[in-house]
Amino acid sequence: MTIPDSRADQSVLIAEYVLGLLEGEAAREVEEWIRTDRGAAGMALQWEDHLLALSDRMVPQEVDAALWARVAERLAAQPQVTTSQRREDAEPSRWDRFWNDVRMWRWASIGLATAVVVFTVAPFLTAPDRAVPRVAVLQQPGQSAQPGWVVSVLHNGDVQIRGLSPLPTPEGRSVQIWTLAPGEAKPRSLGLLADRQSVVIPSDQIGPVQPGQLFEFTLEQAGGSPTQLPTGPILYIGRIVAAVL
Amino acid sequence: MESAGPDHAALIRSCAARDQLALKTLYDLEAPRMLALAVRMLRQRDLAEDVLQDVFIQIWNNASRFDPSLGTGRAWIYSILRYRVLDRLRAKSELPLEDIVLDAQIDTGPTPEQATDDRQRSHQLDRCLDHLDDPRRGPILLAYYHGLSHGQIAERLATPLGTIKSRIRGALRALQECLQA
Repeated sequence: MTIPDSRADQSVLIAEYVLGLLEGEAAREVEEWIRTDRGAAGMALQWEDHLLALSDRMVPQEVDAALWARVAERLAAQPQVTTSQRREDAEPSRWDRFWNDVRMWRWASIGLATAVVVFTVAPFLTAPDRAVPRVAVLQQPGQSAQPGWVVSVLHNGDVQIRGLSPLPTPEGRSVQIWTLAPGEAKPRSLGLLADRQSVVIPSDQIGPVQPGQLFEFTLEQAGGSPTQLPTGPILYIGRIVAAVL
Repeated sequence: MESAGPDHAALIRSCAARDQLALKTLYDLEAPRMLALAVRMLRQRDLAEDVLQDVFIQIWNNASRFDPSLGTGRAWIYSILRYRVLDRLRAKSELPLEDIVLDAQIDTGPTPEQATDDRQRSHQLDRCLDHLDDPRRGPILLAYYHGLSHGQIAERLATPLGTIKSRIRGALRALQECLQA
């Protein structure tokens, strides 16, 4: 099959493709044409726009709320886009500003956190593992003198989060645990703390934990963040370091 | 290019700037209708929900590639949906024939909901489709709502492939002229 010369015939061919009528080689050829030719791409979108009339005849169906939650989870698990893909003139979202603040805070206190690891966490690291132990000390933002929670990767890959002091949940709220690995665009929820002083996250839930990976607790509405992203204030935060003991 | 109402193109631009609220807004606006179309085409709700998830991930990942000078944001979103559904349909081995042909009879008119839907634009296509006779309109609806190919339509309607192809081309040419008028 070859692409016709007349614009009218081209438009009909593209309509056939947009409708899904073409198969095999013919479909691939038109697909390639649309991908490489602005005129063809424009015609395809024009047809799609006209054909929206047929979609608009559909009675909208109620969508299960869990579906958006799954979308948000998948977004959170995706690797971060490179800066060059971003629009220069874009207003930073609330979310970006939030993480920028976190980064600023981290530089202020990471040195101390590393030092504290060696002295405070060593007793927890009992596994005779060949791998370098990986731990993080979570502190309250701006309160770097007092480590509050310790995150350690166990020999089987599970992650244990232990409180050095209890963290009671305020009435009508939830404390939610998050992690953000280097290169990930959005943090992932690890669930609610629910007044526990020790939590183990199974390795198949958390995946590989890397040096530099952030862990944090935020104060959310009861039941956790409605957006699958942290929305409330940070209670504790820290970053995984390889602890050389 | 965008009609009055929600500005899909602006929301897609915000997605390109990694604004997840914009994606959620698009989702709230379009997911119910997109789901209806996907269920209609795939005839399986769980599969349609899977596709819908994939589509919103694709919208997010490809938002920076959307070019508003080529067409509307809403058309772009639905094109992602329909291509994704078509991929799934092509991967499925069999289609229930009789149901689909029956369905095509129902597809020919606007639904009562159409009149009460305030998001509804006055669609030229509806008027232009009305000018087509049933044998020419039917295959277009079978393709749009069920993702049937030329060959599948010929088989379903027990009509020679060449006849179906020329009938559809005739219908599309007539639509094109009507839409430009």
